[in-house]
Amino acid sequence: MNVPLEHYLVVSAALFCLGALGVILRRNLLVITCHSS
Amino acid sequence: MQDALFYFFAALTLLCGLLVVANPFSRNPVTSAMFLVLTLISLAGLFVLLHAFFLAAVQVLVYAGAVMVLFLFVIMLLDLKEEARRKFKTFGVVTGLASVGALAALALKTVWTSGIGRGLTPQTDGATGTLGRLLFTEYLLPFEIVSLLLLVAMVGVILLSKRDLK
Repeated sequence: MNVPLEHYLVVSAALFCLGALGVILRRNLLVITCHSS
Repeated sequence: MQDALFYFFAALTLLCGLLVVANPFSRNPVTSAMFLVLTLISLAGLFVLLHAFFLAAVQVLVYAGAVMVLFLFVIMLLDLKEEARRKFKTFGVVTGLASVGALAALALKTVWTSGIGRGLTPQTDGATGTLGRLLFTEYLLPFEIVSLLLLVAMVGVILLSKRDLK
């Protein structure tokens, strides 16, 4: 594997933070359900 | 080649994830759901690059297929055309951005300094047989705990939706 595992973890952390941002900024319950999956 | 594919899929995942949360062009929930489909599919591409072929197939079939059909069904059933134009409170946006930024900084620092995942050898080649055997032998406890978690979530949803039950 050429790409180090850290890069995958950084991408997943960024995606998690995007989801958290969505929960905080758009408090529509349906959209939150979409994010949390 | 693999590097280029990884960065392509990572950029696609993050871009589509951003468009799910904050699309500058439309606030239609259906648009968000469509970008969520793209996010899930590019995540499946990342899983393929990690040699988790079964997981990638399940991601596309279950999440991008079945779960998204369910989401679209609910969105159209509730008929949320445009999400109500709420005015974002500046205080809320600033504090939310600050807290998420702090969380991101913490996670990135943890990832970079801990050197996690160095020298690990994969236990499975992504084939279904070895994956199932590992799930039912070595990883039996986490597997059962996840099923318990799903049960708890189901009970919680029932209690929340039947609030007038008691």
